[in-house]
Amino acid sequence: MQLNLTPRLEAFQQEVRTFLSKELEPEMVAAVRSTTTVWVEREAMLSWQRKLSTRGWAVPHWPEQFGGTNWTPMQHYIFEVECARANAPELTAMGVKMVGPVIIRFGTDWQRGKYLSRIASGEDFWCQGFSEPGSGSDLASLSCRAERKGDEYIINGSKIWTTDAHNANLIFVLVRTSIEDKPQKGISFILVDLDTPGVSVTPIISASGDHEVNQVFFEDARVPVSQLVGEEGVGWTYAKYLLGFERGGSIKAERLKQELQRVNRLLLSKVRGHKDEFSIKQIERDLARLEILVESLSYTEMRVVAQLEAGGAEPGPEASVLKVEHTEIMQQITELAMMALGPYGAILERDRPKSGGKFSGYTGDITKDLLPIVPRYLNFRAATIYGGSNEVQRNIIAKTALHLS
Amino acid sequence: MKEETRLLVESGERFLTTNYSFENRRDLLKARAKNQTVVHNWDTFAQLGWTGLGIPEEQGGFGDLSDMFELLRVLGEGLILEPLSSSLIASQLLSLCSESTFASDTLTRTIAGESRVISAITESINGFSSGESITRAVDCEDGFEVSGEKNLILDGDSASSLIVSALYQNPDMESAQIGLYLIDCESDGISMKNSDTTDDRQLVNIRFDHVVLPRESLVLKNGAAVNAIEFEENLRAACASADALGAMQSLLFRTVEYSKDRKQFGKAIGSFQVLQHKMADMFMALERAKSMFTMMCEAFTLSADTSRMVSMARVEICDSARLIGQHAVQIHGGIGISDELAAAHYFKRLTASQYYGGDSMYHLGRYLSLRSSSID
Repeated sequence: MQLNLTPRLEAFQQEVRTFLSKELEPEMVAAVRSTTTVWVEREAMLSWQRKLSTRGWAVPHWPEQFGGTNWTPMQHYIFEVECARANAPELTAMGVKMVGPVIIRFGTDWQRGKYLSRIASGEDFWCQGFSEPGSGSDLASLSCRAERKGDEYIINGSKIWTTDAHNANLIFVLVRTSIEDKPQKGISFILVDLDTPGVSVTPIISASGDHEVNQVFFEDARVPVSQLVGEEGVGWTYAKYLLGFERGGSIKAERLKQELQRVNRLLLSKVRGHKDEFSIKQIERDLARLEILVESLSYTEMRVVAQLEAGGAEPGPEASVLKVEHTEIMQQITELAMMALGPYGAILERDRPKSGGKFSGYTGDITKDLLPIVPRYLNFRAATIYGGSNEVQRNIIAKTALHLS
Repeated sequence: MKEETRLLVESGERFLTTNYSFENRRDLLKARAKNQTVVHNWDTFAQLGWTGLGIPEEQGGFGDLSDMFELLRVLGEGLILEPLSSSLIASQLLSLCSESTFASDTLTRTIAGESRVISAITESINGFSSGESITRAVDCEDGFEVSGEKNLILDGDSASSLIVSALYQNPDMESAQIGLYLIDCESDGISMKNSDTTDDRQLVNIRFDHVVLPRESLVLKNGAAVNAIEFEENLRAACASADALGAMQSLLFRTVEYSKDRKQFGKAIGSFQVLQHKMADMFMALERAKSMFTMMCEAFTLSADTSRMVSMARVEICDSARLIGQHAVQIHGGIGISDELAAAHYFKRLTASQYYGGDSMYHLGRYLSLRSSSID
């Protein structure tokens, strides 16, 4: 879509590009290219966050008074696209895109003062405690309890699939504070320090061998009531607000284009061997088809941005559409990359040096592309499960866009 | 949306409401003679100015190509049968021939609704591609003599004149040159053979057997003609896509409404999750098509890259059309394949129109050849 940038926006775009070319370091780009999971390796991400924070761009979508900007939707879009093009690390969403906006909107002044600046600077690292062993898509059935005793909540239960809990120092949890009413009504939103006695984190190793997710246990963990966000029993509302950010809050097509370029590089280096013409042609055709699909997503994103820019309402079904589209396209890309690997598709290297793996016959840059493909294929199966499974998203689309019930 | 475009969209919607209910349309189909394109509303189109859409004001038209695609999208919601898009494509070519008085006069009459011109470029040997013409033009005493055949020309039977591509060569020339010839359909030596399409339109094979033309018939040649032929191919893809988008929008709406009414197992079938998810998939396919329609409109405002972008859009829109058409029939159940109901007619349009202006496989190949990073 031709953005028809005004001179002011063009200057802004230039400003972002200049910043990226000056501040983004090769190690950070390498971390993005070599990551096997959704987020990039913590140190690379944090050093990029510090650079953004210094520039005042770590939390651009927050209100200015809390360290954000007053950018228009179009400026946010330009910023995201330029960062993706440059392969800058994406900031882990749990702090800046999830709990941050909830604290800003529903938190107390004390909570804002205590947490917001530390989220923006990266000093605090948050994780999200929503899913439980017995509550996945049916999140409202969650049973992790918080019982109020005087000025404290006593939490018992566990949270699962907690991304980055092993790197985090704080967790925001949905807990049940009442069983009197319908399930959604007894849920509260509480901020918990992971150092609290009674809280423990156990790793869950993924099929890929990566340690990305965890289970977090609460045994009589005592948390001051000042850590409650908003009102007791209204946590479900805050969670829905937050999930809107998780699903629709970011621009993905440009990142997917980078992934497609990886497949193109693999294809050009004929990893499947030089004589398998049939496969090479087929993969090239599939790649072209995916390029078109990504282009359509890119235009859908721009249409949503243009609608926001024109003062339209916050995205409703669009957020679900974008979530389904980008995760399903991502899976198709990882699948095609596997095909491009040919005989190397069976290799899962457990020890993955940043310099690339031991793909005999291949050296140099291409091994950096080869290495993450198998673990990425495995890990990105989760993309259509997390953030509200794509089945749940389709329910939402049917309900909100087509008014089916 | 510009005010001008908004008014145009409204006039299209009004036309459909007053003149194109499903019953009106069925009467049109009954009334037409066999093997003929429906042209019953042509005077109305001319009165509304639609026959001059996308033509510069100084040539007697109004609006730009985006307006033209937007109107065709709206009319696609009603599955119009008239050859409006084919006529508008040919008018675009006439508009390029500004140095030819013959072409300008024909354009003026076309905008007034007095004549209808259809472009006849494709030949069987080239499949969907405009490719190299086998149809030949040679000098003769009174001008040119054209021989050859043009194949599967949409709405060809409705034409009063044709714009035909042919290779011209005389003994002094080393190689042949491509040219566009404006040919009156009444000329001696022209014969047509029509085929009914799945969506009740006409594809026509047109034979030219030593057709003698005056000199003025050559309305565009060399590089300008080559560019015009590529432009024509892009326009055909774009017009078919615009029409299909309208049909998809309408069919999704009809399907959702049907699923709310139709009851089985004591409940509206739209309450079943399996069907809800199918309709959610249709909604997402429609969103992709809308996005690519936006891209396609933009493609024509660029001086370069138009073909690549049009092909990308065409691939996605064809695939969406297939998905939405098939799902709609499945959700309607038996009634979805009955010729008595609208859904089947939308399905037929969405099936047939994939093959007007190049299908998704052709355009994927075209995109691959135009894409910068392909392997050798």
